[in-house]
Amino acid sequence: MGGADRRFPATDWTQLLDPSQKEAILAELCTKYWKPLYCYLRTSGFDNDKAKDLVQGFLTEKVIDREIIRQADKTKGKLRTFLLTAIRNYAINIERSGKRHVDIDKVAEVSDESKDPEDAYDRAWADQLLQDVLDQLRLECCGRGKTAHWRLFNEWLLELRADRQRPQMKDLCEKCGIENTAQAYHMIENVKRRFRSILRQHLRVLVNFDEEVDDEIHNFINIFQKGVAR
Amino acid sequence: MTEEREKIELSAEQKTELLNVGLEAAAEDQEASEHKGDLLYDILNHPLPLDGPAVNILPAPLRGLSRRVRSIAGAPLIERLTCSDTSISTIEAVKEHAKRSGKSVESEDRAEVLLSVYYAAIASGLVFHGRKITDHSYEHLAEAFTALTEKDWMADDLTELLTKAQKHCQAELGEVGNPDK
Repeated sequence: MGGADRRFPATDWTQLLDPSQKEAILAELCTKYWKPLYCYLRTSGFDNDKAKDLVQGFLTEKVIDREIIRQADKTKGKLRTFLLTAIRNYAINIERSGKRHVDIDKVAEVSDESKDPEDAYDRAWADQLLQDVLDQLRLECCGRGKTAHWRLFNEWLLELRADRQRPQMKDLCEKCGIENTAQAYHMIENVKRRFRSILRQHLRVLVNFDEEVDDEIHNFINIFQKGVAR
Repeated sequence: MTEEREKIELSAEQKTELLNVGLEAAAEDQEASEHKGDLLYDILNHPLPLDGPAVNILPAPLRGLSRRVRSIAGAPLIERLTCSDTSISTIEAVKEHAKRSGKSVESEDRAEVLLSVYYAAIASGLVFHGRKITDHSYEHLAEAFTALTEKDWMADDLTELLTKAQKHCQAELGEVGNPDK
């Protein structure tokens, strides 16, 4: 199946979907990718209502429509950068059509860490990715009888503390009913190993090569470190 | 597995630390049962492989998207196996997928895990549809299900399914062995 010629009729995609399928796909795309796209548009200067409309319009008209299939066929890029390019072009077209509603005062409300639209997009993308991975990890720990492991991991790494100080491991052992700190560290490493695996699996689906997974992670680390440095 | 989302608020430092975990080298001294448990969940968390023109015609960036969109890719295997709404044809597809995949893997651990998914699919057919989708005898199945429930790397949801299926088999064997029937 396939062959050297990777071209395909642009109409095939829409013909294969019925209205209820399109609705279901659109609803899912809105859930998964709405925030990064919205953050990009808001940081680009679109007001709240316009940004929402544009994201909806983009997902409906461009992602489901054959237009984006034609564009995607010309590139072998990652999904994240592909969607960013597509939304950027979409926003430019809107701007050229004179329909842009810029509310500069509202831009600051979107992101307290970056005024750069692409950074805002990448940060929101990474935030969603981490939430998806942690959610899957939590459910898995519960399903494998590792509720204690998850609790320890959560207390050690995920709990947001005002003083930003990690708790003492022996205190955590007492709190979580763990026999000793060596066991606790082993349990945390166990969960961290699984986190790593799930994170990389999530990323691998969205890139073209294994090497790009590391690149994506480095990119997201840089984005968050920019926010810390400010 | 139920879809219970829990938003976790993280600082930039915490996000950075988590992402750095993603770059760490894979540990090589993992216990065998842990490794099999990980493999099992890697398989169960994915849907059946996509097939057909709906995916094959998509360019690379969107092919990944289709695997992430549940409306296209379908539910993960763990849901397929443990949900009474799953059709018998889908359960058979899971069984065949596990059987086919198990024949081509080089790792013994992975082969063993795929075998458990194969039997879990048979269990699902018995429990939710009352149908035996295999030529294996009820006696063989009862033994296989029991053996799998004793694996310390088995997922809780599947242990429950396999236990129910084992009882179904025992009931069938009891009826067959009853001279009054």
